[in-house]
Amino acid sequence: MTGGWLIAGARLVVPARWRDVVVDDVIEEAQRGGHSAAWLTLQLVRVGATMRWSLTADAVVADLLHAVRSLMAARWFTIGAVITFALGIGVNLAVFSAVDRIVFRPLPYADPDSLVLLRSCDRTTGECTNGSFPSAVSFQLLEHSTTIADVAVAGFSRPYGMKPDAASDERLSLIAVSPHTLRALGVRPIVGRDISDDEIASRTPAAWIAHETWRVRFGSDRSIVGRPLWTGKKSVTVLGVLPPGFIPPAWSAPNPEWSGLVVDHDGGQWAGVSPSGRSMAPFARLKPGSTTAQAQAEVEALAESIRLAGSEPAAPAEFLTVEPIGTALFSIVRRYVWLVVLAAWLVLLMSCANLASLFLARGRSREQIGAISKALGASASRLVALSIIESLVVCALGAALALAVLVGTQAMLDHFLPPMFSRYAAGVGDWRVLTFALLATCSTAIAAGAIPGIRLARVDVLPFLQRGGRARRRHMSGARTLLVFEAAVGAVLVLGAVLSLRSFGMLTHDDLGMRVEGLYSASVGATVPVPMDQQVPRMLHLLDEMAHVPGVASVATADWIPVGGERPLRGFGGGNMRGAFVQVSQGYFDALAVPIVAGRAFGAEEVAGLAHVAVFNEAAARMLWPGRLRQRSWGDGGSLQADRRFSSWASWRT
Amino acid sequence: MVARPELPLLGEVEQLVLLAVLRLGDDEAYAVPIRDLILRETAVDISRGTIYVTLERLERKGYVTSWFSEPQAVRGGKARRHFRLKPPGVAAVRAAKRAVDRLAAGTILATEGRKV
Repeated sequence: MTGGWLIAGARLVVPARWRDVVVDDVIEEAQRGGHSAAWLTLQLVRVGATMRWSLTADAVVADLLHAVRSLMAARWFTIGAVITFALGIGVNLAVFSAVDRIVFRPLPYADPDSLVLLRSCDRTTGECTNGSFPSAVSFQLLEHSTTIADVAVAGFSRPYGMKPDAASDERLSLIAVSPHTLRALGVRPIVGRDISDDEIASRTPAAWIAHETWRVRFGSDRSIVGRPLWTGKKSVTVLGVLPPGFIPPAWSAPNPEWSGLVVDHDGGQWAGVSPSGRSMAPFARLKPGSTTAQAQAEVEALAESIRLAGSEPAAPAEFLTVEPIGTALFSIVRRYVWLVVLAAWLVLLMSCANLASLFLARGRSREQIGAISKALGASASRLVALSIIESLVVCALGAALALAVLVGTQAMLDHFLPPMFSRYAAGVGDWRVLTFALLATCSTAIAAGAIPGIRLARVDVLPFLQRGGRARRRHMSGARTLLVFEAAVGAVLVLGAVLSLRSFGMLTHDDLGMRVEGLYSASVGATVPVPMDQQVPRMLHLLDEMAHVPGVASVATADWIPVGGERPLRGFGGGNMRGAFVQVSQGYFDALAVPIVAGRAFGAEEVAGLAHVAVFNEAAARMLWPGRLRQRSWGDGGSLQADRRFSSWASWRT
Repeated sequence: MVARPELPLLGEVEQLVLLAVLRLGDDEAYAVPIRDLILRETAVDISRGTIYVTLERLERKGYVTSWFSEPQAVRGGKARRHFRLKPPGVAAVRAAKRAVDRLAAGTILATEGRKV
């Protein structure tokens, strides 16, 4: 037979202790049947592979059973090790499920790289807002743009019922969107369809139900499509069901309780989108081949032409930006999220080191067993594998415990998470989270189990036999390094946790810097034009009238709507010193319950005397008078207000 | 009350291999004739690898023992690995057969058995 080198190679596939027997048997069969060398080679490979696979599986099952028995015998060690790993993996799973969509996963839309967010930014401060975008620009882009294929916008949620005027009916909270929303996002309903051009032209209202709502509330009933949903006596038709995992594009007015999307119109215009007014920040799909920079240039040119035409009084202090949607939404938080991810990884690393220490300590007491196993013929690789399998059992139990705790505390975690994270958080049952758990478990098990296994495999058999099986006291090489490493990582983690406590506390709620309970705002308009010189007296008169309304505690006004702004603030300063100010009335800080941390609020005599006085926020004071916040005398007309986002233009407290 | 089995149950392939070893006897019970016999008598084509793995498992369980024969009386003749049932192996086969017979008692299978 030819092909000796092939047969020699195929021989090696067969396990060593069966090699000669199998090769001889197969050669005998080949000679008897008159088969070729290729047949012989193939048979050897087949037999060898089958035997290796089956015998390895046997060994793994035997090792697994041995590991389980051994861990059950050392109950307290097992409990300690499982809890150690559960803490490490639990923290990582919680963090991973919270930040996956922000850091690692693309947004659940078709080709998310070509989705952009259009925002209005203040030229003085550089701050961009997800609200107050000139709608005229959106409409112009939708009608004729060389770079943008579709533009859409999402607004606030509205309640819809299954029956007309049914007060007791449980309402669905549908997010109002413009007609091109699904088209711009590249999302297809899993049941039903998108809105058609004819329906858009004829202003036919339409709705899509969230997958979770469809599953839980409607029992995945496909007949939901075509049914009407009611708001008062007006109805919208359900056109379809959104895919699972869909994130509503309500960047500006997120609603965790959302049940779907609705395209509805009020008074001849699409809800939330007035061609002459302002809307939430729109999002757009770039045309194939177009870049963000090209879209930015087109939007800037369009905004300028609209401003010059006078149809949109865009203030020169405002500029519009076009950014990739992921950058626009997450760029601010992403680097902080990475810090959190890094801290979680450090926790996992520490728990891995702790686990390795525990196994090392346990391995010392089992050196005798290792020596006996070696004397009986156990290979080094088998001893290492056994140690890894023990570690794997511990890690699997720890991961299961962590997952169970996370499932049980999911609602509580979502409550404590900052809104930015809870909005995009994936559930613990998400396949990516489970895959992460599996990978982290396996890698930790290998890392924590290999070192004690290698030590066990290197135990010298002879000295044990000479000492009658008594263990020799040996210095554990590497143990000190491991302890120093653990201490260092622990110190970094504690320090990091202390430093980030305040930031986390501020992140856990949207602190508006004012007490919102019992706070109301109103917009006041005039039916006839009011002369400029009459505007302030009229407003003061109105404030006085409102202050005397029963139940009103305090009332004030300002030229800037709180949190978002109707128009850019007026700026001051230059160079590195830039700021913006808001004109407010007397009683402003009382009405909003904004604390004054130094100095005082405006007094009646200053208002009456039209004195030029100001209240700075902490950030401005630190910048203008660094290190002298507490020393400075604030009695000369200046005072210091707590560093918060605040304002209102007509507010009263009941 | 559920009766405990006399011995741990054998797998199907284990039963076939044990029976083949028993039938072939000391001189012929090595892997190639074992596989051939099973194929001839039952038309079950067990792969060569499975035969070797099953023999190793049976040996580990203490049901069979093996030894190497003298090299064959031909040029380059090699020693073969022969197998023989140990008493626990015989007991295991017997227990498996008894379990089948008990289950088949009073059924059409029992009648077929008598006719045969």
